[in-house]
This record gives sequence, structure tokens and C-alpha cells, in this order.
Amino acid sequence: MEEGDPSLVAFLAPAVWGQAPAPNAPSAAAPSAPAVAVPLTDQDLKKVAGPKPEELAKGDPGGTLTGTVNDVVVSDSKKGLTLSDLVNQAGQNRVAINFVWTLITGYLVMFMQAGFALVETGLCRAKNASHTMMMNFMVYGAGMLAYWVMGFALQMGGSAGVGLGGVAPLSGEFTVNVLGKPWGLFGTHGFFLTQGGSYDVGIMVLFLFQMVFMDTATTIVTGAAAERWKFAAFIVSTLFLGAITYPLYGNWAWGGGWLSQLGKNYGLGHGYCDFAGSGVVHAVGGMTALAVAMILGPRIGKYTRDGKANAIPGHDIVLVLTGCFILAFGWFGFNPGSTLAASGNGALRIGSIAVSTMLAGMTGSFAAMLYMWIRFGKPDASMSGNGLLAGLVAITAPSGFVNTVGACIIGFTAGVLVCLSVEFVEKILKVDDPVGAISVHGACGLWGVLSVGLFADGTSNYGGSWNNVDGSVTGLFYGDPGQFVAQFMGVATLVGVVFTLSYVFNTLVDVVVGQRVSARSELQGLDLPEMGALGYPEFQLVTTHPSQAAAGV
Amino acid sequence: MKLAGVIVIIGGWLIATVVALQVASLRGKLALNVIGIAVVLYGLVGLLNRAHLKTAIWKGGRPH
Repeated sequence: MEEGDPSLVAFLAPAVWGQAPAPNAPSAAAPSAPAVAVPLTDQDLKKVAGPKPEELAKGDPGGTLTGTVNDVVVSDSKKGLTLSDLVNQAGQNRVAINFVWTLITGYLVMFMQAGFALVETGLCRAKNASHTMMMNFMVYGAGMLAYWVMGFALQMGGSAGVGLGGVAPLSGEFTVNVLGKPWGLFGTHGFFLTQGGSYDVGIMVLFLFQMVFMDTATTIVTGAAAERWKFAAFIVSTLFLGAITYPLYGNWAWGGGWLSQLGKNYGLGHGYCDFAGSGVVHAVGGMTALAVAMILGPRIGKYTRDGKANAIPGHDIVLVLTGCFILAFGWFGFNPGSTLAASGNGALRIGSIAVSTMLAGMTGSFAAMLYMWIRFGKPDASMSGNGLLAGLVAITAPSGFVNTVGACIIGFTAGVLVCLSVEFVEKILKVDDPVGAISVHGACGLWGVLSVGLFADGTSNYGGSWNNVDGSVTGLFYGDPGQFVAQFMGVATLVGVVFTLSYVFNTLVDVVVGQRVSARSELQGLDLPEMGALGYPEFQLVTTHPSQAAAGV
Repeated sequence: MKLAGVIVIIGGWLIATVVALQVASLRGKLALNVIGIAVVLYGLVGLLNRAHLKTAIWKGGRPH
């Protein structure tokens, strides 16, 4: 920045300490002549006075003396404050705000692991408590290892354009030519967070945020596969999901890959849009959960000899609903944090995103509660919890693009959908999913992806464009049918490619490692055979539920 | 039958994406999307899952 840059005009002048007027305060004088922009110089800055030491020595209970010109870092103490210092400080402040915002929201998402652990463990039987908890615990480390080694690079290695700031080295994307257009398939920078210039402050922030998202996807699978998954197979499967499957789809949607470019290359709206991951995180986890649950087969006693489903209730609804609350809390990191910014480029929409998130969760839980109450005569607690999660899953993709009415409709629909889907998966597919993960994350994740193409209202503005297409993301109900088609292609890819990739790999794991524990271990409960210690060693575990007692489980 | 299921699923995805992108009209693209997803679901539910149910545990199949 040159001294006296004319682009810096007199609007900075009121920043002189103690003289700043309120933004909309009427001017004392009312000149009729138009205001003339006066370039600022370094000399003008010399006149800006901060609070004196004796004033500061008295303390600052009102907070009016803290955070002034005295706190602006100068590059050369002899020259004093210059315009360059001021402008660089402004830039660093913006990036700092974005870093802190993204890190804190990332920490919230990390804590969701505890919520998943409680929900899944509570919905399983006490004899499998330690095993289920341990899977939820180790999925964090196993997924992180895979993602650090290669997953992050494959996903974000070509995503230099993200709004966080400071991630320029992520500029390598492997592309192939399909139908005359470049299709980005995976990134090539960022392996081990050192290769390709990726030892970078911004990339570290981005890694942390993306890593906890990936871990959310991997922990979805442990719920559907609970009570019968061999621990060694779980580790291998998680490594693959964190290293390959999740990052590939993540690249196609968020890393500059082919799905995100459907708008630029083929004129389909703004390309595939998934603001915070109904598809990338939840449907990827849900599709993988479906693949693993199909390969594993149902638990012993889940179905009678004629294929009729038995209920196998979990052991602690208190854990389940506490876990749901923790997840709902973490979702305030998941969705608003996906702006990757709190300053600039329309990031002030974070409030709207947070409100849409909480509303969709609320309508989801209400819808599931009402559905179960009307259908079965009681407001089922576990399905009310799943309804909350279903609403949150569904709003995750559209949260950055929809208004509150759209959010409520999306959440309510998800709450009903999850109840219908649980019955479909259990009674028609006859796939055993102890926690309803396939329905909550798979079915409602797909619904969330589609809902962007319906309800995006065209009011968001994240720097004037999205996925290299100018303007706001707009759905079918607001005038852009092309967006709906792009979302459909995302759904087809989730079910067609992500499911298949997970199915093929986990079939290989089944052949090599073996996915399922022995019948003896399963009947005994996995805590001792797999973990070597009971989750509740001082309890005597007795089967009391009639259907389980009849089935001998 | 499992292999057939996987092949049909991939075929459905190709219809919904690569083939659909070659059609000029938006309605045509959407129609191919729907057809492609229907094919994917047939492969998943009608072929692949049915193959797994043939050896379901309550029918005397696994666990080992």
C-alpha cells in the first residue's frame, strides 16, 4: 500500500479516538454541497491520539479505553503508525476473526463425537456398551490419521478459493476431460500437511475444521453396524472411509471437483450446493452405513424365521436424549461454522444459519413425536431424538441458502421421513440398523441435498458468487430449476458411487479380515470377547424384554 | 447377483449424470436424473439387497 493511497478516503477520519460519531447521527452542519473524498496520509494518522497512560492506569471498567490506536501494531517504531500498518492490521483482523470463528466452531463439531457416542451406546444393549463406546472413541483417532496422511489432500488439495483466507498453496486438482469439460476428481496438495506448501497457518485451520466433519461421517457407520462388528474390521473400514471415500466426494462437492462445477460447465444453477454437508458428511456416512449393515447382516434375534422384525430396545434412553442435546449444540458449529468466516463475503449470515438450524431441529423432533404419537399412541422418546437429528441433518446442506419458513418445512419433512424410513429399512429392506443411522443420516441427508434445489431463496451473498457462478443460489420454488437438477445429480452420485465404493471395499474387508463377530461372541455381548472388559462390570445383565427373551438374546 | 447389483447401480449413476448432461433440455436432464436414480435403487434394493437376504441369518445363513 502506497502512502496517501487515494482509495483510502476520509471515512477513516472519524476514527480519531473519542470523536467517532454514531453511524446514523445527524450531522450538526447540513451542507448542501456533495462530500468530497479526501485522501488520508500517514501525517493524518499522527494526529490520532489514544488514551494517555495515566487514564489507562485508572482502569477501564467501561471498555472505552481498550482497543484503540495504541493497540495497532506498527512495523517500524521510528516511523510510527503508517497507512500500511493500518491496512495490514485490518486485513489481519479479518483473517483472525475468521480463523477464531472456524476453530471454535470446529471444536464444537469435535464435541459432537461425544453426542454420537452417547446416542449409539444408549440405543444398544448393555452387554455391548463398552464395544460401542470404544468404536465411537477410536473412530476419532483412526479417521484423523487417515485424513492427515492423505484424505485432506485428496479432498481440499485444489480448493485455494475458500473464503477463510491464507490457503493459497492448495492449488493442485487432478482433472480429466469428460464431455469436453474438465472434471476435477481429487486434490494433489497437502499430503501429511507438509507437501505442496501446505505447512501454512490457514491450511491448519481448514484441516481442523474439515477433519472433524470427516470424523462425523465415519462415526455414523458405527451406529448401523453396532452389536456385531468385529473391532479390527471397523478400524480398517474407518481408515478407508477417512482416506478415500469421504475425501473423494468431499472434493467433488467442496474441493472444486466436478459436482461443484456443474453450474460453471453445464449451466446447472450454481452447481451442486451442499453448504455444510447433508450430502458430503451425512449421506456419505449413511450410504456407507447401509453398505456395511447389508454386508454384516442383522443381529441374532432381530428377525424371526419368517422374517418378522423383533424390537431390540436400547439400554439407556437418558444417554440417548442427552447425546441428542449434545449433537444439537454441536450443530451450531457445524452449520454456521461452514461459512469458514465471520467477517466479509456475506459471512454475517451466520445468525440466520444458526436460527435455521435450531428451527429445523425443533420441527424435526415435533414431527417425529407427532407421527409416532398418532401412529402408535405414544410419543416415542428415541424417535423424537432421531427426529431432532433428522431435522438437523436435513437443514445442513440448505442452512446457508434458505429462510426460516423453508427451514421449518425442511425439518418437519425430515421428522416424518425418518419415521417412514426406519420402518422401510427394518421391514422392507430387512437391514438391521440398531440406531436408525441409515434413515437419520442417509435418507434425511439425501432429502437435505434435494431441499437446496427447492428452497434456496436467492438472498444469500457470499462474496457475489458460489462455485464460480455469479449471483445467489436459488432453488426451484424461487425460479431456478437448474439448481434442482444439479442437486439430483449429487443424490445420484451419493447412492450410485459412494455406496458402491463403500460396498466393494467393505466386501473385500469381509473376505480378508471378516466383518462379523462369531455368534458366540454376539450372544455373550461384545464387551468381553472384543474389548476384554465389561462396560458395566458390577451389573448383572438380565434380558427382560419379552421379544428378546423369546429370541434368546 | 451381487455383482449384477453393483453393475446396475453404476449404470444408473451413469444415466443420471453423464448421459443426462448430454441432453440439452432441462426437462430431459431431470427425466434422466429420475430414471437413473430409479435404476440405482433397483440395483440396490432389487438385486444387491435381495442377494444378501437369500443368505440371511434367520434363514440359516451367517454368522460364521
